[in-house]
Amino acid sequence: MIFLKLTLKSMRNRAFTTTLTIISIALSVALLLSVERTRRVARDGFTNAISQTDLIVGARTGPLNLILYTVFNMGNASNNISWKSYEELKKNQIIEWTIPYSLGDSHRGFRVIGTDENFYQHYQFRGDQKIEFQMGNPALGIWDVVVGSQVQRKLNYNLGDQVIVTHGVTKGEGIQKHDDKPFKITGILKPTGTAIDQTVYISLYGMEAIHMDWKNGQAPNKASIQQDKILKENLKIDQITAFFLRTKSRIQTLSLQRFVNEYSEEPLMAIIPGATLSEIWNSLGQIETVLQIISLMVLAIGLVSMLSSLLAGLNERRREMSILRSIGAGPMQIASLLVFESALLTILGLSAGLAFEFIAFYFLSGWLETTFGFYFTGSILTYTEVIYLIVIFISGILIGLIPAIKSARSALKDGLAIKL
Amino acid sequence: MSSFIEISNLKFSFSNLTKTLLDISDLKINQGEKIFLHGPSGCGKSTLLEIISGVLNFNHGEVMIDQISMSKLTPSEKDQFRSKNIGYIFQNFNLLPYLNIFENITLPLHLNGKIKNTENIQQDVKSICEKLGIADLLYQNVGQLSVGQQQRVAVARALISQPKLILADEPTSALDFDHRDKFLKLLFEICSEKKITLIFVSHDHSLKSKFDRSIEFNEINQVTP
Repeated sequence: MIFLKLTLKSMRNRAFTTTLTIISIALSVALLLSVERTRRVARDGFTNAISQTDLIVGARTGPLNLILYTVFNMGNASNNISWKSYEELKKNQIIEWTIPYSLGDSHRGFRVIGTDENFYQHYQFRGDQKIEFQMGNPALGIWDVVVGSQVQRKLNYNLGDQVIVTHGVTKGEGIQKHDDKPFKITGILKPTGTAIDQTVYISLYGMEAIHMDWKNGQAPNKASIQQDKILKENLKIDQITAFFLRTKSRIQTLSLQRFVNEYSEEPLMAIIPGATLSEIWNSLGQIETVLQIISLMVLAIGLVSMLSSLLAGLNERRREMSILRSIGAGPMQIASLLVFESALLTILGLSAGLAFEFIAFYFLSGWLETTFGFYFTGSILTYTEVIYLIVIFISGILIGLIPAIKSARSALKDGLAIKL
Repeated sequence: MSSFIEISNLKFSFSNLTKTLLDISDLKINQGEKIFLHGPSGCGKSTLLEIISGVLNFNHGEVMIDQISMSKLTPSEKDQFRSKNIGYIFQNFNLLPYLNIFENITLPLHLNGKIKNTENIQQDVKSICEKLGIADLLYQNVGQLSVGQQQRVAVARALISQPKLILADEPTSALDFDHRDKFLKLLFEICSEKKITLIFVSHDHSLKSKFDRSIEFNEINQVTP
C-alpha cells in the first residue's frame, strides 16, 4: 500500500522523466508488434490467397507455374485441358465441387477469367472468406461481366457499363479487341486483398462466344455472327485452362492427385495449393528471416533504451532512497521499492504500446487493406508476441534490480550523512 | 540505575583507512538527559552518531543503548532498533518533496510497520503538530514551507514513532538566530515531557548553556587529530 503510494507520488513528482520512459518503452513495444504483425500478414497474405481448395488441376507444367497463373494472375498457361477430361474427372464420387477456369484474355491490363457459378459459390480465401458482391450479381449470362474491386476503382466502372475484352494478356491497349462483342457489367466484387481484386470475370459461355469464329488464332474478317444471335444452346465449350476441386474428405486428396497425374486420356497435373504455397514461401524464406531479424533488433534496441531511461530515472532518486533509509526503511524495502517502480513503468509502457499498436491498426486497417492488400487475420496476439512481451516485462524487473542492489549496498554508506 | 547509553572502549576506523577515527574509553548518558556535543567540523561527531544509531559497525568495544548491545544485533535488527527507538533530525531536514506534511510525518510508521489504526495516527500527528505549531499546515506541500516550518516537520517526523532517543545533527545551522532559539525551546519542551534523551551535535558554542550537559568531543575522543 505504502509502496504504491510512494511510487506513484514519486513518479508524479518526476512526471516528465516518467512519461518519457513510458513513451520510450511503449514505442519499442508498438514497433516490435508492428514488425511482427507485418511478418505475419506477409506470410498469411501469400499462403492464404486460396483456401478450402484441395487440388488445382491444369495441363502438365511446373507446380509453381500452375499456381501462379491460376491464383496470382502471373505467367501464362502452357496448354489447355479438354472439356471432356474435365467432365470425366468431375464425375468422380469423391469430389464435392469444382471451379473451372478459362484464361487467356484481358481487359485494359486486367486479366479476364471465364468461369461458372461454382466460382461465386465455392471459391474461398483466408480460411473461410467467400466471394462477396459490393453490388450486382454473378456473371452467368453470356455477355455478363463481373469486375474485381480494384478494376472497378481504377477504371471507375458502374453496373451496366460496357466492357470490351482484348485478345491475349497484354498491359494497356491490346492489338486485337473483341470489340464486336461487348460485355455488360452485372456485378462488382468486394475487396479481398487477393488477385481477385484485379480480375475481370465472365462466364465460360462468354469466353467461348468471343472466340467462336476464330480460326488458328486469327480474328474473323467479317460475317461474324451477330452478338444477339448467339445463344447458350449453340455454344459448345471444348476446353478450359484449369480447375479447382474440393474432395468430400481430405483423406482422398492424395489418391485423387495421383489419379489425375496418371490420367491416361490427357497429360494433366494436380497440385495441392496449400503445400505448394508454403513451399514457395519457404524458398522465399529470406523475406521472413529479414523481418524476424528486424524484430529482434527492435527488441534489443527497445530493451537497451528501456534500460537507460530506467537507470537514469533511478539514479535521480538516490537522495530519495537515502532519506527513506535514514527514517527507517530497510535495504529490502528500498530494493523492492525500486523493483516495484521499474515493474510498474514496464507494465505501463507495455500496455501503452499494446494500446497504441491496436488503435493504430484499428484505424489504419481499412486503408492498409485497400492500398496494400494487407489483411489482418488470426489472433490479435500470437504466441511469439506474448513471449516477446514477457521477455520485456522480465527485463524491466531485472533492470530494476541493478539499482536496487546498488542502493541497498550504498545507502548504508551514504547513510544518514546525506549531502545536498 | 544503569545509564541509557553506555559506551566503553569503542574503537572505530573505516576499513579502508588504517587510522583510528574514534577511540572512546567511557561515555555514559542518562535517560532524559539533554547533551550538547561540541567539536570542530570533521572531528568525527557525525560518525559517533552513526555508530550509536547502528548505521556504522564498530571494530572494537561495546555500545549499549537501553541495555541492548549494539554489537550483538544483526543488520536488519539494527534497522528495526533504529526505526523504533531513535529519531533523527538532519541539518537538511530531508523531507520528501512530493509528499504532503502529514505523509512525511507518518512515513516512518509505514516503513517500520508500526502502523496502528488510522484514527490514532491522526490524533498523534495532530497533537505533535499542535505543539510544534504546524497543525494547520498538515495537508500542504513541503515545498511551500519556510525553512523553520520544514525543520519543525522534520522534528515531528522524528517524534512520531515515540523514540527514546533523538539524535540531532547540526539541526539549527540552517536557521537564523530567532528561529534557532524558538526551535531549541520547543525541542527541549517535548523531550522533557516525553523523557526523551537528546544528543545535539553542533559546532556553535553559544548554544551550550541551554543544555543539561555539554561534552567536548575532543576530550572524550582519545585520537589526536
